[in-house]
Amino acid sequence: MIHNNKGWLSSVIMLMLFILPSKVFSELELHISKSAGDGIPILIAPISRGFNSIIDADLKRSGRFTSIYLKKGAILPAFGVHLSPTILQSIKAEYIVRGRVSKAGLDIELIDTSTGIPIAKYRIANGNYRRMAHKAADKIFERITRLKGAFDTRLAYVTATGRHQNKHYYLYIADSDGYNPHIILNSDQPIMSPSWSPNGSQLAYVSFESGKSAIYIQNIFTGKKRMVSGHKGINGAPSWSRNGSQIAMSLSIDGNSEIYLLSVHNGVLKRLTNNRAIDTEPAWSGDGRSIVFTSDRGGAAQLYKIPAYGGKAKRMTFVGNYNSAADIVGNKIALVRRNGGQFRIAIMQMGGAGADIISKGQYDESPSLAPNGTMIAYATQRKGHGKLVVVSDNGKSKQELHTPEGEVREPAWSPYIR
Amino acid sequence: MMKQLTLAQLYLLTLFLSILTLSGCSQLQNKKSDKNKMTTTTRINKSGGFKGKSGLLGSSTGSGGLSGTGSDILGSSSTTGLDSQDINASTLGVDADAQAATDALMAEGKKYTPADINNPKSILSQRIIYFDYDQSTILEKYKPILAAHAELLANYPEMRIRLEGHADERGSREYNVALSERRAETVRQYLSFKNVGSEQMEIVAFGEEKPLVPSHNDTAWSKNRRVEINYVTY
Repeated sequence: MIHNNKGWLSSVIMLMLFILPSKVFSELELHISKSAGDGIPILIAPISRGFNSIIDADLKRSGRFTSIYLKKGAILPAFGVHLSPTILQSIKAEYIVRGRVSKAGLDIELIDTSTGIPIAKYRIANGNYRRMAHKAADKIFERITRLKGAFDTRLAYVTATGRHQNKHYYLYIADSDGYNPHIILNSDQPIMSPSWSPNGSQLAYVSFESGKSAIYIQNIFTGKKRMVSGHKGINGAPSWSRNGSQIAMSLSIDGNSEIYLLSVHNGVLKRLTNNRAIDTEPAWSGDGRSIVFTSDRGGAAQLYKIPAYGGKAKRMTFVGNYNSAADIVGNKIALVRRNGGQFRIAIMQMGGAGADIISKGQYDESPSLAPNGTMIAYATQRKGHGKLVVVSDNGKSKQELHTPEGEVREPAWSPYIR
Repeated sequence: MMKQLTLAQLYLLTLFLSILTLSGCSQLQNKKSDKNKMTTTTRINKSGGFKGKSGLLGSSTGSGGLSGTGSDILGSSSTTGLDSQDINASTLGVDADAQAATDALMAEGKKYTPADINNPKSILSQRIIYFDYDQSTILEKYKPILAAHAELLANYPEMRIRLEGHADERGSREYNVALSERRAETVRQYLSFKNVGSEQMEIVAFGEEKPLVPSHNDTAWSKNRRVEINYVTY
């Protein structure tokens, strides 16, 4: 009866792939638990189809703006119409945003209330409704803060439902605010560690669908996937290089986890570390020239840095007896730090010594920075259930995302998308 | 209704279901289902074993009784001057079949048989060992369990095991995968030292992804930091 000659390699699994546009699943429940009270005051006037609410929520999430609303019953002169000094003075905001929906798309004007003159006008071409609003928010954010906006981006994350034998794992992609979730992989074996390609069209991830870990890359639009690493032992922690040509990963070909670089094009492997300790969780530095990874070679998990062409690893963290899971944007590093018995998310600067703890949970993990570094998504637990949190880098705004059933974990923030 | 099933019954149910699935699979393979990827495995374990099969070795566990009889006779033998071969001959008469089976095993130096894996009275029914936090050192109390499995495996080189490493949920996920692999690797090295062939063992590291107890406290964590010895074929 048992005809399988591959032995343990196989398990009783049924695996179904849902191609991205074909199926939409339950949305994450969204809850803004904190927003900046001392941010730049801004008023987003009502825009048809509710564009203003999405723009307003985006700016709030950045931790840099405080929303100002019109008094009940008050109406602001329409898009393009001059604002009198009386009106301007009555609105306690530094900026006013007005919008208009036309056949061409969404027109936005940003008005400085000290002069009443529009300092910028934008036209967002027709497209996905929520993405149009995110694009508008990006423009406004960039014009005021001089930082590139990252609202029109995506989050990948893993959910798990059911218990024991009935457990199911899903790999999701949603907008950065949790809307428009799509399942791109569904398995009854664990799915881990999603990592975006730099152009935002592909995900690398770990799946145990074959009974053991292997790294796959999958096009998020076509759903097409292929295995890129299925060695004996661990195939873990993929991290796509800045130019997309390589994936850093942790392999244990010799029985112990080491950092390797895999060429995406020709499959050539290059070993970076050689140590009896655990070496895992590689992350590319902002300039793409070095790899930051977790190692317990000093006796406990700490972050180390090694040139991407190989060389000597240098320890980076000295505070706390557990530092791991680095994610890097520019010079900013998000990481997990144990503080007493608590695992929390910390932010440090490349080359810097200190770090700011930005989370308050007991078991916070998997930090992922927005491509402009202004927001961090991470996983936390509440009442024994995994959920996601998005905080601004200044800690002033906080948004929680959770599924009605099961657990959400391992958020991975996409790069800028086109 | 499911809630009323005992743990043992659940394991049995799982066994039967997987057998059903396996046979279903072999039929499906002929039908070439192209929508679902399906693979099969022979998975026989989970700690606790299959209680329904208890007593399987009942006939050969007469060794306790045998030695008791033996010592009585030996006690008298010192006075009568009977040699040991005669005593053996007389004990054989007590339970010839059991003694023959034991002799056959002893002749080959085999203390355990594959059937012991499913015998709750056998140490081989214990197939999970636990670890301290962030540690991969094998605790002394688990060494007899590993030694017993090593003995079985060394005597049955065609048997295969899969060592599944696990970690508790604290710390980052990929670090825990590496930690759980190190635990499984420590067990592999121990078994290898006890003459288990390297081709008999495979390691899978699951990190914190498959907790045995899905709670978030010390008790659950202590059960989740583990290596499972899963017999794949025998």
